[in-house]
Amino acid sequence: MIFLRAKTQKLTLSPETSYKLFQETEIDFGVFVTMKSCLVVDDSRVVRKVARRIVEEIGFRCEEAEDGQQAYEFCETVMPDCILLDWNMPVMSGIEFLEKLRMMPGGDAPQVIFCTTENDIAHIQRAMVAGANEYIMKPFDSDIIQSKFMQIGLLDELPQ
Amino acid sequence: MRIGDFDFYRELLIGKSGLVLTPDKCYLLDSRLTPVAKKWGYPSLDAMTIALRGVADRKLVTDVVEAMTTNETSFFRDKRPFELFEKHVLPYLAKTRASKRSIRIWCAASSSGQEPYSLGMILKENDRMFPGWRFDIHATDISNEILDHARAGLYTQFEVQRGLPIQLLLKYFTQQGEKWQLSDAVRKMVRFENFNLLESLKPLGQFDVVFCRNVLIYFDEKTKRKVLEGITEILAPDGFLFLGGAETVLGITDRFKPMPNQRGLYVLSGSGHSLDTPGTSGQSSPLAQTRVSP
Repeated sequence: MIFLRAKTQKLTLSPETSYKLFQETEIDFGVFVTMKSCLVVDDSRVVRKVARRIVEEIGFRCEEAEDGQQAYEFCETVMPDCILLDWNMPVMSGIEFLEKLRMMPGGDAPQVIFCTTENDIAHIQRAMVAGANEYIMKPFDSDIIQSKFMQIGLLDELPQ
Repeated sequence: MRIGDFDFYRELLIGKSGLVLTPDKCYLLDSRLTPVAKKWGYPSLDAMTIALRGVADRKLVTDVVEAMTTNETSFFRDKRPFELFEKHVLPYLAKTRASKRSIRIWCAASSSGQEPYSLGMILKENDRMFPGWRFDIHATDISNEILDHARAGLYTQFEVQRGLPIQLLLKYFTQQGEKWQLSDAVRKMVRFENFNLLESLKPLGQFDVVFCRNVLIYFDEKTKRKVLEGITEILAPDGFLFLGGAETVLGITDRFKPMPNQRGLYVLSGSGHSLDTPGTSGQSSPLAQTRVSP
């Protein structure tokens, strides 16, 4: 039995669920899969919760990881469309994860946005060299996330 | 606030700045003018209102108008107008202004400077197209306080994260404690000046491009028409006008026409513009790179 989760008139559905649904009902739910996915990587539950609310609001499917290692394992199964990445985390740091990600097959696909309290030029430069697409200095708010998503082409227009 | 007082401020603001205060913005009077009253040593907003109704200090009136005119802005605000500027307007100007090698741009309500500086950075990013050219970005606002902020080019971490691509932050800013300082190279491109849009625009001279975004929305129809028709007199015959996303010339003046499929971009009626040759400069800028679709 599969339950659909309806959120603010949008359905949140993974490709696997969509396929299972298709097998059961013969209804093509593929349209919902076109929703882009965002992996939020942060060791703080509060930050993950805030980030989830924001990215879901702008129409993304949200997944979570607590550190770089978990994020790496997630990406081995499926590459998300974008990754919001903290720097300082136990087990594996954000920068170490990013370097590993970019070496993986298909690992250059996800757009990676660092989201960290590290706010000096040296850190920003290091992140960009390692292959980050954008950089957010904490604290952030929904305006900043939306604005960065727009800049790297993840969002066309701000939802009015 | 009493209705009579609201009407008093409404009249004052229309007269001094053209700003139309609607009843739903009544709360703004309290939130923005209470600090002004405090600064001038009045025990309350009501006390300041009484003083204003009498023989008002001209500087107090200026402070009130400054506090009430909104300063909402960000770098590359709404993104698309700046893409239009870079991909369509600049290549056109590169061709048509090649003999005099100069481009003049006016930002009509520049607020804390993000709009003119965004244009400055775009020009810097494309400077290979313009060897030896002179750029004049003329930025005006009605508030002296905000103009000082703009001239300083010093922004908070929040301000530099709204709309500014990280590559441009790295390239044109340096860190100063908690804040970010825009480089002199870009700051020098912009000339800031106090200017009231209700005055005659002619002394400003002629411009190739006018940015008058999110200004008209605060004006009544008569003032909108006056400003737009004033712009026709200072815009080059083949010049460009950018308005905000929620603004239009429709029903206000027929001196401008919108460029088809280019939202927010207007040209003079009868200018025979057909910008259908998009920019083919072939140069890539951080702004362009950001548009790579996944």
